[in-house]
Amino acid sequence: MTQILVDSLVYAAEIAIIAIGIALSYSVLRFANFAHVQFAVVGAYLSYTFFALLGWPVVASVILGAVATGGIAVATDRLVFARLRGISPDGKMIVSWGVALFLRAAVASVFGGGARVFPLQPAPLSFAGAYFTMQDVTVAAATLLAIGALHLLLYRTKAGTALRALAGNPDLARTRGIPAERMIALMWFVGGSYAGLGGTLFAMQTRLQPNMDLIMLLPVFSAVTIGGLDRVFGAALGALALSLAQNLLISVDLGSLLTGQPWSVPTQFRDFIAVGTMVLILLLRRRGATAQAR
Amino acid sequence: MRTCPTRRIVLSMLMLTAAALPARAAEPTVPVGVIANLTGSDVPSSVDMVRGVQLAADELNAAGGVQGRKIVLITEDSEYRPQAGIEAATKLFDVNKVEAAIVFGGSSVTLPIAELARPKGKVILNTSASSAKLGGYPGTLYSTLPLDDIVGAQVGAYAAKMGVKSAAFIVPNNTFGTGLMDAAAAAFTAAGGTVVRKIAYTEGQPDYRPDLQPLQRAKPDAIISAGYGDDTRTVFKAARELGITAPWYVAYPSIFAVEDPAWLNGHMSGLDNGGLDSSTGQRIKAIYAQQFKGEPRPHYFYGYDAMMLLGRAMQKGGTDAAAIKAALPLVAKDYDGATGRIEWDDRGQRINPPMDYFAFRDGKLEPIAAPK
Amino acid sequence: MTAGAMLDFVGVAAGYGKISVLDGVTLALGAAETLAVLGANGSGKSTLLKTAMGLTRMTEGGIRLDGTDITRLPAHRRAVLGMGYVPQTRNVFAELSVIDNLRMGAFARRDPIGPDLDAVFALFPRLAERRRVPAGTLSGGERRMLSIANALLLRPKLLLLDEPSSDLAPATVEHVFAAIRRIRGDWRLPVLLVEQNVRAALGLADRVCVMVRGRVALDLPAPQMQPAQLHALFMDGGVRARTDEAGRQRSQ
Repeated sequence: MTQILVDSLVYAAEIAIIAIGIALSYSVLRFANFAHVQFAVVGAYLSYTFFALLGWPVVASVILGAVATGGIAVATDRLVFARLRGISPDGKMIVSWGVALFLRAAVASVFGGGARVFPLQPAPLSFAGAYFTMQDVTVAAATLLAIGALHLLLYRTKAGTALRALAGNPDLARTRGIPAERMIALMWFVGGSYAGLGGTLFAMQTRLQPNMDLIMLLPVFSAVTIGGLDRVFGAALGALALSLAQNLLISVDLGSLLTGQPWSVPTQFRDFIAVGTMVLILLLRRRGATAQAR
Repeated sequence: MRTCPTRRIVLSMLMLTAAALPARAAEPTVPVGVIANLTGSDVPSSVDMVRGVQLAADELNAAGGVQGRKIVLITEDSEYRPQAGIEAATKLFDVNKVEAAIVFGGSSVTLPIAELARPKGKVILNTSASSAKLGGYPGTLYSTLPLDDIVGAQVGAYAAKMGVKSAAFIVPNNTFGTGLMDAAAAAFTAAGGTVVRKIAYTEGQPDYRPDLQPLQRAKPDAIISAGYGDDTRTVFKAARELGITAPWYVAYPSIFAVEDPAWLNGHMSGLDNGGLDSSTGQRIKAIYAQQFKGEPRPHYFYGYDAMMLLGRAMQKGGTDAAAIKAALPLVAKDYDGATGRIEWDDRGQRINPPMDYFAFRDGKLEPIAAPK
Repeated sequence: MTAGAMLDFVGVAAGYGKISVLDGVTLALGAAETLAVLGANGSGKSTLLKTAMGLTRMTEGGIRLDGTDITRLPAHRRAVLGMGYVPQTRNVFAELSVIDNLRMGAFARRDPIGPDLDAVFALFPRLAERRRVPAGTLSGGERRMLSIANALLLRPKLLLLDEPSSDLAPATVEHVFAAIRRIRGDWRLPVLLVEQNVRAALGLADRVCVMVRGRVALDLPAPQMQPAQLHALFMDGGVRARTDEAGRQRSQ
């Protein structure tokens, strides 16, 4: 049981940090940005370049990778999305797919399509019957720190409050003298850096591939949907809820309970659980909305 | 239609070299089909296979051919695609009227060709596919390399011989993985071992810790495994992170990707297809080095043996398919091949194949002695 | 262009997307003036204020604020230059607390805002009591007060009020208008007021203009405004009055 909790926490940490960026950008720009998950991949490759290819210290590499990804996100906005502020959310969503495909192809052409691994050998640890690694602890701690920092930014600084104001009421924010484009750039930077950090942590835990966004896409969007799309910390809670659901379902030996033969839900059903939860939430929310309309 | 220019060029070149041999005289000839992927993936292995076949045909022809007729090779490209493989086989059987074809390709290519050859009564010699399903074509398909179920049984027996009492299995969830696992588990159980857990993981997952945790809870003496590429690296990483210390016994260790060599040192041993150091193997390896420079890939040896067995069967029984089928098991009995002694079961699949044993030491695979 | 005007519209045409609402508006707000803009629904009153703030698509004409051409400036720059805008709806940041709303009102300021906070709390004591609650939980009247206070914190040169009396109970309307009077007096701000409530508007304004179908149909000092004229403009869309008025303006 402790193992399930530990696994859930670690997996939630990997997903949450990417998911909160999507919620942040949804809250301000009102569209589901599929390119965000690809920023995570770009960030992972950047950190990998600094750490494994240039031999810089790991913490510096990760931070630099995140900051550089933030810059790339801002540049993407200036080059693409800033020109499309007026188009429909569906249009922006489709464009974000295009951006994701472009970034994936760019990463693949620079680094090749094959998988790479961060040359890290974290020490295995054991606590209360659960096995994990030093890296798991680092990932969880980094995510908590990142979420805490974002909370401070959004609720304790002027720029963060302005960002929330802009998300809640963009026209009013403009007429109050809040420079919307500068705030949007800040939002892309924060979201991009968090994606870069999340992607790096995810890649350290698993492996680097140009198409690893497809592995992250479902759980990340599921977490954001569970959390309520535009609710930044809801996305983090959504990641935790999803992760718990997934790990509980695949860890419980249903076979022994029912037939005496050991059998549990195969691990590949993780993604089905993610999609299932997402669909369920969307259906419930829709029913709720209809009920309210009546 | 099939109009890939590079493919056409490679194909015509190979056909020209093949046709150049009997051009000296209008002697009666025997056509033999060769299906290889000259374009598509894994071309170098395929080309080496064709070279092995060519060498055997040359040697047979130099010794007078079969039944006084020269062997003529007709090579077709399968592009490593089932559809192209079927087209190539159809052309060979219906246009060139070959009675037997030597095939290179994965199971996905070889299985449909065998399916096509069976009703036509033709003979297929398999030099590279190892799916246990290929054992389902007795009298049609004969293999010069051992199938996965045979190798799996060898791994299971090997672990038992090494004193393992309880073992857990982890393999990729595909026909290769589960076929090998089932054969290994049967052999291991037959040798007195207990299987505590069988895990087939989905390929391409980012993290296999959730898959390995049930294995860890089962506390096996050892882990028996098969797999390849990035997935195996991720499996090792997960095992290391979970603190699993049980030793690994694996099939085909050369296709595993190692994540942390220091951690795996002395932790993994396994077996791979062997016999390539036989006297014939050594001899044709030297010829290869002379002709093409460098080391031949294993398929050079499997191709050589396939052509040699086919030629001898034609010489002994006759050049029509029925005669070849009758003669193949007989000539195999006293054939000392480039891949060691070839012992066929009644399906035409190798049993007790020579195996090479390896252990992972000092960051690499090192040959070790076979267990007693 | 009108000399000495605080806000000056010259031949302004504007709308939303492909829809055109303002059709050549020329109007000036004097430096110490309270101007009430009246008109039927859809006549373009609110659009006039939004266009002044840069929230619409402007196709023709120009706007000057205290002599500065602001026609091409984005909304936040106009706010910084002195346009204090109080929208009719969605006029506060509902998720933010009252005090954070006020801080956002002063976003562009670098100097301490303490004295101005004290001033707006003196104007609206209710806000001081509720400074920690989310603005979304305030009543309609409190929101309007907060929105006005918000606009004041940037130390504007004028106030644009979009129907400050709408959806409010009569007592609250009285309270809001009293506050507007004090702002006019104590803060010496010119006010451009869009209203449906003719009586309240006439009671406050120095000058009144009536908009009909995106144009200014009538522009008079408040005391000269005849209720009958207004009635005609509201009821028949002002075709007759507009023709007369246009003729009169042209001859000037």
